[in-house]
Amino acid sequence: MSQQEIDQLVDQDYKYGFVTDIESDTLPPGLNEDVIREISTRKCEPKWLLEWRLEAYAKWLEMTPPEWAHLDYPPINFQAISYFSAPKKQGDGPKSLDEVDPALIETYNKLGIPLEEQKMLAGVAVDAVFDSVSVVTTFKEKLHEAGVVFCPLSEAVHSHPELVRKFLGSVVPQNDNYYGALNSAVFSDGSFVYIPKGVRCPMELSTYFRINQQNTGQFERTLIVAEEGSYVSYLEGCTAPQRDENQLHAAVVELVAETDAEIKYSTVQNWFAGDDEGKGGIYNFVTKRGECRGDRAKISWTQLETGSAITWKYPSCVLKGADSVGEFYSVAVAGKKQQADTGTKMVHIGPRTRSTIISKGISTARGQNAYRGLVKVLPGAVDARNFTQCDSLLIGDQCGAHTFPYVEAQEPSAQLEHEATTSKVSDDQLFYLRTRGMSEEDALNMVVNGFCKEVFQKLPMEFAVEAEALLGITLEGAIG
Amino acid sequence: MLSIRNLHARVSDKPILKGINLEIGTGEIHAIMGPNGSGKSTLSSVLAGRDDYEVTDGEVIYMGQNLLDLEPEERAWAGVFLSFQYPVEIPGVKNIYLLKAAVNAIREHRELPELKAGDFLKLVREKLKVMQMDESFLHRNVNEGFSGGEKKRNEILQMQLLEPTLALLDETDSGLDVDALRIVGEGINRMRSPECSVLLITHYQRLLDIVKPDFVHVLAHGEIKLSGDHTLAERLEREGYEGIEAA
Amino acid sequence: MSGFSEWLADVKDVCASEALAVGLPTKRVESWKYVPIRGLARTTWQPASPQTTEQFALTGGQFVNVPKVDGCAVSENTLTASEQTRLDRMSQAHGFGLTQAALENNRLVLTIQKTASVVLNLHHLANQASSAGFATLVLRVEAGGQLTLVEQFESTDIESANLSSLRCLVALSRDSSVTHVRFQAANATAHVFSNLDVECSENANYRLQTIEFGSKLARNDIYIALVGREASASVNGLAITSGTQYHDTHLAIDHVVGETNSEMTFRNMVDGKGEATFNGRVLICKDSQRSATEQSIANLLLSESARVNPKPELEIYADDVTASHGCTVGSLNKTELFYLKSRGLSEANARAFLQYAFAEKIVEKIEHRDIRELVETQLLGELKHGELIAELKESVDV
Repeated sequence: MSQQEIDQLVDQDYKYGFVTDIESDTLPPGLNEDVIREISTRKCEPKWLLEWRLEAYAKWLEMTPPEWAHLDYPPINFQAISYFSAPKKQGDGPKSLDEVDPALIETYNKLGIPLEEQKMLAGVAVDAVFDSVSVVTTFKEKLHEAGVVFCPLSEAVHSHPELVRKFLGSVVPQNDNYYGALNSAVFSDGSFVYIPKGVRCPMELSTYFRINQQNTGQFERTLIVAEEGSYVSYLEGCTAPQRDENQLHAAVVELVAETDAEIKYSTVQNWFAGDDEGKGGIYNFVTKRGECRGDRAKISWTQLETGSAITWKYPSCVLKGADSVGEFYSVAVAGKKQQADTGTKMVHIGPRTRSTIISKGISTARGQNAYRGLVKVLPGAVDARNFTQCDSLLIGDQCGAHTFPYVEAQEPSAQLEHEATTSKVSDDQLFYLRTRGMSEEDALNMVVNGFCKEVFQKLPMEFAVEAEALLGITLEGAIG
Repeated sequence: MLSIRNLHARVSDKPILKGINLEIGTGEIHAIMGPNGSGKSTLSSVLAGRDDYEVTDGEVIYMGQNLLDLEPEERAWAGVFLSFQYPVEIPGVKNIYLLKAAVNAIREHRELPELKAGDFLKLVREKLKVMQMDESFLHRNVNEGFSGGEKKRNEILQMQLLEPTLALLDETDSGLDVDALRIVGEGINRMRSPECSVLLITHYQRLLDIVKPDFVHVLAHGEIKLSGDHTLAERLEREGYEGIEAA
Repeated sequence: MSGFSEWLADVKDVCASEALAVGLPTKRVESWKYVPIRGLARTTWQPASPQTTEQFALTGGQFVNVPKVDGCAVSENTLTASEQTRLDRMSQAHGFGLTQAALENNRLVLTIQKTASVVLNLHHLANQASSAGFATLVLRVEAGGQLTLVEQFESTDIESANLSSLRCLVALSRDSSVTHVRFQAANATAHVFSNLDVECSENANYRLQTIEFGSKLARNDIYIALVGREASASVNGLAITSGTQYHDTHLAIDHVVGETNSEMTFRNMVDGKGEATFNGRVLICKDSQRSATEQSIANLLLSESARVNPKPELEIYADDVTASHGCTVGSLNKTELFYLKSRGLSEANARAFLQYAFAEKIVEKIEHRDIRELVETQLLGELKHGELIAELKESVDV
């Protein structure tokens, strides 16, 4: 395959690059205590939360941005970013879909986000986040019957203050890391999910995030608590419009799984990746962590990362409960001039804890894709097990694939296994498929899909279909 | 000499053996046959002391002592030998080190003097010849890179050197071609003596054509369903396990 | 910088003042994250003086009795521009690198002449208490030359901390080959630092076998650049860490051009309160097509307090390559233990067998017979219950 061919094929327009034209209520750029007070006031937050934010801000000021990642980007000017943007409300906010700004609905339709009733048939409740404020939440009733709380975090602060106060920051503390601290200071909104003891959430919970406003950082914060013996599957999709400037996204997701609880968290991330020359695109610095607090708890992260100019993201599991299980399944694609440094951390604390890591990295065009993972086994995690497999696929000779697996083992009965391979798409495979009548592009698609199969199988059904389609679009033309 | 009474065992909560009763007298050869998953390998593993298996009930008396109380190496010292269905590869350890270490460990417990290098080599060469194995086997790492047939021959070689009073042979015939089967079978026949009892565990009759058992037992669903003499094996071959079970 | 401050203050050069300014690396320096440097910083180090010996040795930071061998010439002490660059890169890596450069006592440059075949045995003699020796060895192997370099550390009963550091540059011209055996069994109070920088030209082959038993703290920084087509490198390493020892190997291989091959196999066996770190990084540069690399790291933890930090890294910028790595951590295999015990071996002997087997997979690759046997003997001495195997080896090995 010649470089020209690759370029031609990789050349793929961002399909979600439009700007919604609605008035919004945005704070001027800049960050200081007053801005934080303003955010808190606008959201009518209780005093403790404002103090919590200010504490985080003070800690953030003491911290420096991490430099260890295999990423190359100019320093971010945090004073040039606006930290709050909400669509202007008409009255007291929409009571039904009819009341939602039609431009917004139009946006969701273009994204193919099914907000209407057929979605209920599909069993999905949607909490759509548009810039910083949740606009509409559907199917609350059905969830309410089951006792499940699923609402914007800003609402939960008022409706379930004791829960929010108990769990917020309990998994990712304010000063956990630079971007996590920033989020703690300025987080706008996000989802709050609470599954009571013994409840199996009756539907998949789904949220679409979207960054719209120019120069707006989005700092959503999600908190999911699964009480003893409960189960929830949470889906998150992300898309952002095309801009020339880089936009910052620094989110925090915290998961708490108590005894025998299970949380399945799936992400399809397709933020704008920038153009072929690396102009524009989202800087995606995300802290995601789950704690298996009780025995036999299970947390499973599945992600498809195709977007963003920069991805810095390590969904992690802290396995405290005995026999608890952590899983990480990831497909990360870096094309154009995208850079991804992503992976996971599995911290084994309880006895017989088990973790599985399957990571598939695909690099095309001038993309740089790095897997970075830590498996840490503390003394006392008797008979802990980990299996890690990270495979990288290179398509074209201008891209890069990197693997940085850290292991820290301090328990002799632990058994850890790590395997990694890096290869290009085999010419033999492509040739074989083409002799069977497939176009080169279809052949590539098939091979890459096969490469990702293990991970896609872990996604909820309808998400898997979307993931395959998205991968297809991302690769369209990537070959060869 | 070996009496298994009401033996129950399970693997990670799954009951496999559900009350095995079996008496093996001195110098007898017993064959246990049964379909896949009937519990054959579990039985031999329990007898040899593999700790993945939990004995939930019953007892195994071997020469007056409870076998189940002994560590695997203590069973070996007491004269129990297990030929593995899948012999373990130990890269980095020469076969001859294992052979000599094992022979002398067992001799020590039989209160026999340690074999000196020269005597040991003489003995091992003699047994190699019987098993039609080349001397280079001794200097290869334990089972590493051995073919399926070579591994099984190596097991029987070990058995001949260790001179057990009870030999448990787990699927020793699997993965062998006709020639290797004959060599292995004859190797077992050489062990026939009033001092040595053998428990053969096998799926097929073909090994039993060479090593004629005194008794044949059919194991299914964790219990011995049927016992008889060597003609039972022939019947099984003709009618299949289903036919027998139905009857 | 504590530890070396006074000494560095006496040396009036740029490197020394930089070293003083930067200080010893801390845990914040990624590549020194796990190194327990407190002892290093607490000791007030002094220059070491050479011991008397008749062997070719490195003692007190001095090379003594440089052998006169056919095909091996002692060259002048001036470095080529490229050698200087490589040495500077070593120094700039971290504060300790600068210290090594500033405190260098002695430098030896040897040239292995065209198509010559040379064997060198270098003995490291322990320094006296609280003394540190720093030296640099430059090896130039001309086209078609063959060098076997064997480094051995003499263990002596020195009760207080001592330190020895060797920076070694090896340049392999086209078609040359180097077999480098490093057997470190230094005394239990030694701090051993080794920096190795190897450059392989076209069709040159570098093989390193490194065995580490001794010292209180050992740190190896190994860098290999494959700069000519069909150049290849292989590294086999074993570290046996027990007591309160700390062993650390940072190994990096760069495939600078295409059609190059590398292979690394490293094993850590950790007992007691020992800690071992292994970082293996392979870089395949852009356009280094048709290169291949394979890494395998195995770690055996034998006690409750043993720690191991393995990290196999791959950085790949070319698509037509085959790269793989595997890494395992675990204790002794239960099935293997059961097999040995079912053959009558006691628990202790079965464990010794398996530990020996684990180490032997690396040791058996040493072609140099005398060294291999020496290593095996000492290995068995290191193992709890190694006597049975020692006896067996003696009685039945032919």
